[in-house]
Amino acid sequence: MTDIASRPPNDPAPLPSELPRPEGERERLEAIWRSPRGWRVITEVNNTVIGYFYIATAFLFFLLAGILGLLIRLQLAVPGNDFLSPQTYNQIFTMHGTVMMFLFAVPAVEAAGILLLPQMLGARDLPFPRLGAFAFWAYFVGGLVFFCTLFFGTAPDGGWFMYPPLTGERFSPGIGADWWLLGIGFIEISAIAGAIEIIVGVLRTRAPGMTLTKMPIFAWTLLIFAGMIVFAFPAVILATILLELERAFGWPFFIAEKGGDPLLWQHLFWFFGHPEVYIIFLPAAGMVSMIVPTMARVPLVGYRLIVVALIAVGFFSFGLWVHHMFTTGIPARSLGFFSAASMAVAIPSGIQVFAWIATIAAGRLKITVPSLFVIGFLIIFTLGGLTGVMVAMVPFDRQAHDSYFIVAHLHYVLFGGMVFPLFAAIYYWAPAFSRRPLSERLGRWAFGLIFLGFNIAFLPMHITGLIGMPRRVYTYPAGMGWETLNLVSTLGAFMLAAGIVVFLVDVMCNIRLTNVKPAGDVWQAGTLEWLPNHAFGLRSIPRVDSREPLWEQPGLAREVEAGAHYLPRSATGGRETIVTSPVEAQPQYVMRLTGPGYAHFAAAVFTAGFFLLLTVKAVFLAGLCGVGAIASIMVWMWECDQAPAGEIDIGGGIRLPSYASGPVSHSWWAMVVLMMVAAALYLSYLFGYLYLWTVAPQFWPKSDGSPALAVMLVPAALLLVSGVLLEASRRLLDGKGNRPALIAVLLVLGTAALVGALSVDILQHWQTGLRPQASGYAAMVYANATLQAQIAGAVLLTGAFAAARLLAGRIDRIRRVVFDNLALLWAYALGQAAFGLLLTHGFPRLVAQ
Amino acid sequence: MSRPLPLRAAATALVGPTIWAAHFLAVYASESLLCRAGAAGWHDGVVTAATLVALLSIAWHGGSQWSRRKMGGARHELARIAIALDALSALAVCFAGLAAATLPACA
Repeated sequence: MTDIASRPPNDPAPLPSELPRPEGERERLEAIWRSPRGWRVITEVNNTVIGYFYIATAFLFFLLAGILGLLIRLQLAVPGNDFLSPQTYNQIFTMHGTVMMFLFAVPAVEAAGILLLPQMLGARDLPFPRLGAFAFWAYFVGGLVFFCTLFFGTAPDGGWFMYPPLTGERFSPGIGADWWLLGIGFIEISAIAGAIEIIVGVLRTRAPGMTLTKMPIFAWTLLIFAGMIVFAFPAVILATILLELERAFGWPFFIAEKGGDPLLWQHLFWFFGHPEVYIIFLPAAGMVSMIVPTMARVPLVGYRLIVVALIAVGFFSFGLWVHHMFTTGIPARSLGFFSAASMAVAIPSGIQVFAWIATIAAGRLKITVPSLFVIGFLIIFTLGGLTGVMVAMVPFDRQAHDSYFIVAHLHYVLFGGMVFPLFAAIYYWAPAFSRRPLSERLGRWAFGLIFLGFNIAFLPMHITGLIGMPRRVYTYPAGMGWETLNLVSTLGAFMLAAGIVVFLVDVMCNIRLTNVKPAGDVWQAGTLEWLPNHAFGLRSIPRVDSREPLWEQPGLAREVEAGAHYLPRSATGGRETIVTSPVEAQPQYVMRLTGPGYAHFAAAVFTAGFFLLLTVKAVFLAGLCGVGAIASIMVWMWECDQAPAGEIDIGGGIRLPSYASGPVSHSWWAMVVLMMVAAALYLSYLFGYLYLWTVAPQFWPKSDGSPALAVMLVPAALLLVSGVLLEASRRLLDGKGNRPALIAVLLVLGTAALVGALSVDILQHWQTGLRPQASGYAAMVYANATLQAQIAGAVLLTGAFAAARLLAGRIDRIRRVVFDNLALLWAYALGQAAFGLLLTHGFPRLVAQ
Repeated sequence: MSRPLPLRAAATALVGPTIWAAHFLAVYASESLLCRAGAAGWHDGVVTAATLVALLSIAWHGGSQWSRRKMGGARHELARIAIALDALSALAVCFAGLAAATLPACA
């Protein structure tokens, strides 16, 4: 086998696949990857189709939330206005922020990733096409239903960050807050599914030879974006679970008089919410890092430094959450730590800005529409960053907090940092997917109106805020000095909207999506997404030896299109792509990808139905949808993990296996990432548990002298039995004897023992008279049980699924990915359950007075 | 084919930021706990010790990466990235330490 990594870049070795390619090879690829026609397109899973759907839906939500923004500006245009009622206004500003953040910003960048990454990395598709499609449909159905609550006057109205006690049952008794908690909580799950897809895709499906340090910066930013989602989103998912438990069942996590604390919500929310800003910004910065070198005609200056900056931002942004809470009475020194981290994160952000400026200076920037949007981004985002440094100073923040200065700052950061690059990206990449590029003339008009309109709308808000106008007010009296500034802001907002309309006209006139003959590389860019792309991705997958392969190898497009590189055919008769090693991208095996199907679509609709019906308290129907979702997922997964199909010759003398298990398998990687999500969720819970102890220790139980060991004995013994059965089934599967029935029985018994351990534990708490409604402490004990039950339920179902596959002959010593994944999740669940026992029984006794 | 580098070879670049995160958590959480225990005076010592340990650990890691700069393949690039991340992390640790030096605990 050829050692790809050791071949020098300009090795004149023969191309991997012989030319000319056999007749019918390309047609066969086309047939295999052809999308279903008509309404059956909903069954398609190909990243290009799902990417289009995703981007269109995200943009629809951008427009809808933008219209809400215009309604806000109309209401505030003049003092004493009664254009909107106070109740409607509250719903509109809550939905504007919520939809922009959760239904537009994160999905839009995930959509860009799903559409662009495979092309950019030289893969035929991302590794879990049905998971990506599931994430999209769940988001689409859930998002639309959530938005429609506005038309029935039942939308949430507590602000996009939903602070209790305002959003608790006492002050928000309707179902508006529940829509937010269940609707958005569920859409976050869809974002996590997309993040897992992106992490495994970036690390394992790069073209041979594309080492981590040759990977396009956009892929780096998406890798870090997805990693941040894995650690940040569980915090807000936990917060939404806790608040919904409080609202539905009276578990007082956030009620101070019962030992809860509303500030716990703020900690959990902002532990997600601040990284969220960077989650949105980093991929947008990645887009800029792709556009600037192409337009300046030079490689990106400081590639390695930008990678350093991205990683540093990814970390430091988690140390900033309290800078949204400077006025909540936290000790001065603690505020100092967060202020210091806010200063530290400015350094890597600055590195990126200087690298872009240096790249522009090193080359000769061609002034195109994407360049204009990039310049607009640099100006606006830098201004937003500077006001960010201002509000990171505690004394200044005390003055500006909750005023229109903050509204101005966050729009400069988010609109400047994300929307401008997104427009640049749409203009830049449109020719890769459309028969015609977007119009330069209309684009310049759109940019001019958006840039001017944005600044006219938001620049005055800095002053409006500094002279005292608070945010979220429904109206204001005349004579405060705010009238002119507000009127100017409203005019600016409509100018901005006019720019968006010009853009829409441009899209309607010029975008003609195609995967047959797009306009192509009109910018003479250097990265792989500009090679001729089809529904099946590249005709053949090239070896990559540099960061801009199209600049280094002028004949590459022709060779790739002729099929002269790796895997120019379908070796197994189905959809497939090459899996490579995570650091150096050495080919490891050929992954077979799933094709169109109904099961993932049904699973998404049923999952959305489950959460949304729970909101309106239709518990029976919600239960039916839950069962439907689980059944659909089982059907979907039954077809996965196909049997090995022997070795595959991908060209260049490289023969790869068609199956892998254990740490080489992409599926194993996805399960590890999922375990990280579960661990982040549980760590967030641990933080909440300890936090309530520090603020309300008087609600913790007094010492009754009983040893913790006695009450833990039965559940711990059951956990041990469960672990022994897991190990026994693993050894049996590894062994030479073929005993699927016995292994299936062990799996069912072992997972049942895990569930039994948790059931006994809950029963013991109940028998002591502890009720979750009694106090924050008691609620936390039962919240632990809820989280444990969640993961144990997943293990139980996966165990039953694996047992069924064993009996059907779909798991054996070689074909064992389902078993390996179950074992990982099971082992994690055992560890988390044991830790939960120690925490809920040991810690109260340790600190009891 | 040579054995591919495992992901942990790249993950070593994350040591510096991880030390920063551990330091940050230690100084923030310890203040909450010491304030609750009525032992604010101890926090200066905790921050000083945590900052010294963090800086020394980062310096040790940076030093170990320094010798890898000349290696071939992806390793040398990853080593350079690790060194730069160590430097940024050390700076961020100093920032947090300075916050403690200038502001009183539990105030």
